[in-house]
Amino acid sequence: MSNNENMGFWAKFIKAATKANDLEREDEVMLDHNYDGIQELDNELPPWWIWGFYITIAISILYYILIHIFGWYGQEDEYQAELVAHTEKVAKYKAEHPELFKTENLVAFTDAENLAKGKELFATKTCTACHLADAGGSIGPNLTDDYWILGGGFQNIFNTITKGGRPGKGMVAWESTIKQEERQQLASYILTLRGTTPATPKAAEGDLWEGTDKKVEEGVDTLEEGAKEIIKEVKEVINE
Amino acid sequence: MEKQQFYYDNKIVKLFFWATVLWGVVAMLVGLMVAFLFLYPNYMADIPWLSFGRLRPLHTNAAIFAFVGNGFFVGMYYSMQRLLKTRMFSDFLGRVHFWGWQLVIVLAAVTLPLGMTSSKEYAELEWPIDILVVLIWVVMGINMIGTLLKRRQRHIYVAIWFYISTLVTIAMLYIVNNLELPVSMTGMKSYSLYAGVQDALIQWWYGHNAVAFFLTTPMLGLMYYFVPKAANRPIYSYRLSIIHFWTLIFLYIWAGPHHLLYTALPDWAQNLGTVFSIMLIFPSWGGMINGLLTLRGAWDKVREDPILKFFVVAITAYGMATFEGPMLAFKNLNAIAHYTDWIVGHVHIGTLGWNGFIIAGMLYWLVKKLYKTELYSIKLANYHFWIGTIGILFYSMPLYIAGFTQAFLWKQFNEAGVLVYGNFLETVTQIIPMYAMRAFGGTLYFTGFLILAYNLIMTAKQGSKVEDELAEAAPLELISGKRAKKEAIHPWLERKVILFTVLSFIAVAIGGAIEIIPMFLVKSNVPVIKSVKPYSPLELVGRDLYIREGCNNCHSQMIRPFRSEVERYGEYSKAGEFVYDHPFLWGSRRTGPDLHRIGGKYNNNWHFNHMMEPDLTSPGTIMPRYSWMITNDLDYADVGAKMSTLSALGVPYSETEIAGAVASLEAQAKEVEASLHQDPEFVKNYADSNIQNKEIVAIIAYLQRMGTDIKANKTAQN
Repeated sequence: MSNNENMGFWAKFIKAATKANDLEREDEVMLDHNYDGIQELDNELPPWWIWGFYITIAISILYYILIHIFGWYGQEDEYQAELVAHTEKVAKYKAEHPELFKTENLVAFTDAENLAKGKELFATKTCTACHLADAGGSIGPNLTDDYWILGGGFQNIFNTITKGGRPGKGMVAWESTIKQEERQQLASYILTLRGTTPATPKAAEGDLWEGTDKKVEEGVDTLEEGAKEIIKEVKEVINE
Repeated sequence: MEKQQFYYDNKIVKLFFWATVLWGVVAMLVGLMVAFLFLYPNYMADIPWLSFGRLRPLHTNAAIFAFVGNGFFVGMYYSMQRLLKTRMFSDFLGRVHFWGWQLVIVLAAVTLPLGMTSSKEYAELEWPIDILVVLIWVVMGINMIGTLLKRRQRHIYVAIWFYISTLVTIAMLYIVNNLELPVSMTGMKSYSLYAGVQDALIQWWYGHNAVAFFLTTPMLGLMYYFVPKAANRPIYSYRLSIIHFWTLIFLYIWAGPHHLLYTALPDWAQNLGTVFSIMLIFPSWGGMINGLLTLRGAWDKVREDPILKFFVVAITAYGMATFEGPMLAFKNLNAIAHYTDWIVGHVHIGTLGWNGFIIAGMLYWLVKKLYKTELYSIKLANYHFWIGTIGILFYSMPLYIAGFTQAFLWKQFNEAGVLVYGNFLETVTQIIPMYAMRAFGGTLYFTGFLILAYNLIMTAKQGSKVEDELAEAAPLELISGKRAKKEAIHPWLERKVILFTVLSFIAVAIGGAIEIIPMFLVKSNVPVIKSVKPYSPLELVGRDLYIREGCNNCHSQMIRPFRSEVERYGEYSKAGEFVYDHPFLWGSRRTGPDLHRIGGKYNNNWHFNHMMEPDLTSPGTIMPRYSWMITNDLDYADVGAKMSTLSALGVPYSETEIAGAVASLEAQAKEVEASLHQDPEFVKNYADSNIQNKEIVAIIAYLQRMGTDIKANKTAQN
């Protein structure tokens, strides 16, 4: 193909899309306007432009009618649907992989390597921001004494790290940011802090822990139930 | 009729000309300062008035009102006189406009860093300055209308149509959005007349149309004058001008709610925002094609002339931004882009590309006319063009990437239904390299602008003194105001300037009225939640500190109904929760996490340490320290007056509550301090610092209250 033919097609295309008068025949659409030397042509509205405009108007009217007259969509429904889909998916995954969600059989590490790792994580995962480097407690409680707010012993400590603490106190649920094995290492390390002597130990909080490793009872923790709870709350608020 | 001789006032043009250059440098410099705060959050640490929350409004206000505002006035004063064949109506009013506007800018530059802000975006200035702005705008309006009335040109040109729509619409928007009740006539503090959802709607009706009628219509007016002038070509299509002008101004005003998609704003209003944004694509593009096709037959000149290059990139950027905007107004794309840097990137295509470049092209063209000389260096202007263009790319592209990267990180769940990036901070540290590139792009753009300043100064030096220009034209013959036979409607309208002004006002008033009025009158738009109560005196004072520090510039208070947000922040936000929020503080960007349900999430000591040194509780954070809140005494002498003001606006504070405000505040402050004593570190360092009398206790009280009323509701029901 020669260059000229290419140009020919392009020029034709542009011509059809814009309906612009040729530059040589500009005088045909030149208005007698003269504003400080600025003249105005009166080329036709480009067909692609005017059709585009009509189409966006049509889309807009259709969009609004479908949503508000035929009720195709609302952000509240969208949220509920998302919630249900998500909950089902997670429930299915949990049913298929029960082994991943069984933590009852985890026990504390006692070997030096894992405990050293736990010690390192205690600093790098920002535990020290609230519990201090010597675990004497500051924003959060003292981890060296025998008193525990959410239960002592490996299982309870592991669980608190995983699911977080009481509302309003700031203990984060770390399950999304710290891997399970690392949480295990952390809990193991924290157990070894018992009886150490921090510089400014925070006064005891919680109950004296008698040393068993029994898990304390907890409230709603499965996601399915949690999600149902949320749906219920939402409905209550809406019904107000 | 015999021709009359008269002079065009070039001196007023010169004044605005140099003000534009000066404020352009300032606005961009402040922009760079805040861009570097993302990389070095504490490089200006402990200087309250240089903190991000106070500088960001300064940057936006300087860019919009000082740089683009003065840029518009340059072109308006130059072109109006010539298009109407007359000197401006009053030299005196022109000077009042000039000096008054510069005074507003200086006052803004002082008060915003001092934390005197109403918190509403691009309307942050407090009430005395608002009044001054309106007065100056009216002065400008009288001067414009006066000039129109004494014109020697029968019809008004399309550039003037755009100037008129700017004049009337900005007046309407600015006044309605800034209605506020001062706490005292001697202080700067005021509260917005509107609360919560209504305040949000009015703010974004304003905010969106400040973009439309301060950053778009005036610039289109400039385009219609300076592009054909510089290219020496006729305007492509007169009828396209008519259609796109009226459709643009009529449709634009409705689109504000697209800034509030997925918020607690009722669906019907949100969807109006969406559909009117979609309908805006082609009216906006009408301006773009009329600009670009005016260059038909002049493209060889574009290759040679840096001025035309600036115009081409500016108009192209306008076309890109006005396509992207409607796309972002689709709810599904908005769900990704909103609250992220994508929006910041989008906005800067408009400001740096469209506004910055059209003004640059205009300044280069004008300097030659004003100083009767050639440009000092075409080469430097070309350098500016290329450095600036590359700067825009380096500015925006990284922010687009940062925006959708962060949005996906926010939304990512693992198979077990847990957020993969549960810690918000992890989603921030990922995009720091993008912030570095943005700062680099901004530096390039700023460098280009400094080159412009140098080139203009040198051109002015080599040229002759600015003198008023002699012109001549015949006065208008008196003809009937009625439409003549065969006179088409629009040409007739073009000689009826008052009618034209009134009609453009009606065109812009309709959309706002239809959206805003039902929001006040129809109760179901904001369903009442009984448990939502007004703030306690201490919380109220804390909220005002939140406003003073501009926390809303980085933190939203609006949790959208998405699974990922409910999981991360808590129950999504309901319209009824904000009924006592004068002003609303929903925010528009999440540089940090949403705070609507922060109340009760952490204990008071956590907040104390976090404000004192954010890095202690959140290592790697880019939040700066607010150490002064721990040392500043809490000023609460006027808390009763504040409550009375709010009570006048409908917040149900009883007389007893107002009378006992100080006692209540002091009691709650004491409680907050007492709770802080549970931390031995606090006792060690601050036991004797009288913390109950410091600002920190108020901000903690407010943070702990936020979003908790609805939780109380739950307890009451159980």
